[in-house]
Amino acid sequence: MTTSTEQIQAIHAMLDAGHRGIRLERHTFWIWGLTGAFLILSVPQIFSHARFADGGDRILYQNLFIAVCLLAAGILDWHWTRRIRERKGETLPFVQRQITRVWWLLIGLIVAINIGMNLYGGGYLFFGVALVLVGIALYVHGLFSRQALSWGGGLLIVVGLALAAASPPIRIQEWTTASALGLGLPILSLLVQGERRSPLKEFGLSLAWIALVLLPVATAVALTRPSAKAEGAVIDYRDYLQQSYTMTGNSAVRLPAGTRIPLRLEMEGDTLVPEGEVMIPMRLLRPATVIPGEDRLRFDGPWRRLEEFRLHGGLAVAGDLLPGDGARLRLHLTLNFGD
Amino acid sequence: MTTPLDPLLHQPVRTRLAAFLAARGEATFTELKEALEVTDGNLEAHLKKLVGAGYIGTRKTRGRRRPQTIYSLSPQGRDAFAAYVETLHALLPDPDGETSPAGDPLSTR
Repeated sequence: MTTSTEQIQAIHAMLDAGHRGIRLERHTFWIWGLTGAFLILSVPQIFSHARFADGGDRILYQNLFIAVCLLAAGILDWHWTRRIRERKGETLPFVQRQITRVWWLLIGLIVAINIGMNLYGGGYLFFGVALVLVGIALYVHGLFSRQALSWGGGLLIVVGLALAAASPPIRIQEWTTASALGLGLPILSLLVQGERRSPLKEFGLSLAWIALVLLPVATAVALTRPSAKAEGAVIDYRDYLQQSYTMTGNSAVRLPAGTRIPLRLEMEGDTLVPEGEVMIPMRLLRPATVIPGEDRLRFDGPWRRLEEFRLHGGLAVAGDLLPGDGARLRLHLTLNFGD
Repeated sequence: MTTPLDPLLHQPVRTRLAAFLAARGEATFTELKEALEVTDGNLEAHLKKLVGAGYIGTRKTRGRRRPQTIYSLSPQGRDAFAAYVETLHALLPDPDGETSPAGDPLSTR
């Protein structure tokens, strides 16, 4: 029986199929995912402070390298996609061409944000923001394609916002973003192939997907976490200095409150350079326990790596020029180890 | 009195074909065949009718491998499809569950 209702339903189904006519090829996920993961993991190694002492040079070459890699990935993806479509006798729909432009804008934005953060700071936010932008790109694609893409994009946005809000150590942020791109995008390419599924099934698969993406990160964090307590004996700081102790395993050294800790200040800039080494005598306000040779330490709480402490800093500069004293600059720096 | 349904569009395959093109903009023969799940011959016959009536326009592209024909709804086809959908809506049963006074002329038993 064919009724007007059924005819309308058939029209709606075809309108939906027509609107959701975008299809990302499998290689697109692989190319962008692997390029992104490669850049995240390799750029800090290639463009290290040791190799590029000059900050300006480092920023320039690093961002040129990133831009060239992304451009190469984009050109490869574009030509590969066109060749596949031609071979299958298919077109690139108008909407897909427009959304590809949106994708390029978002990638360009990630590079621009990276340059901005290189120059003005805020690097702690970079990976979170990058994941949010990739998530937006996938979400927009999904609106005209498979729902799984939208769910995947939405979940990446949530992970990106969580990274930005929680600000875990950079190492963990790098792993999360590299896993989301290098592992997540290729796996996502499998979810968007084949028959269309019910919305509930697509959502369930997307949740499984994000769990799979985060699992290697959680495993790596657990494996590299400092042990709950020092394995060896705790040595008194005075004994340690006088070398009148016996080291066993991971012996820890207890620094009592009041311990003098000289702070070496490394400053550079386009106007002022220090005359010689600047050492500031500082004093511990609370006892700390450290393991020599490792970057593990703790105050009252658990063992952590030095990089895992969230440093809350405040910086203020003031200047004077008085007849009796001459020119003076005062730099006020507040550094809190959030424990 | 309701407007009569366009006989060219009032055929399941051709209705779906027009709806698909209305949403997607343009498509190749292969894409249409995949979307509508019909045979080559069947699709060709329906396309010929719609192209002949001026509802569908074609353009050729020259790819690396072989030239392709790309199909899209012409302005005339868009108007006809919009009118067809409007007529169909007029025939829908009202919210109280009763059909329109003339009954549903699409109903075939």
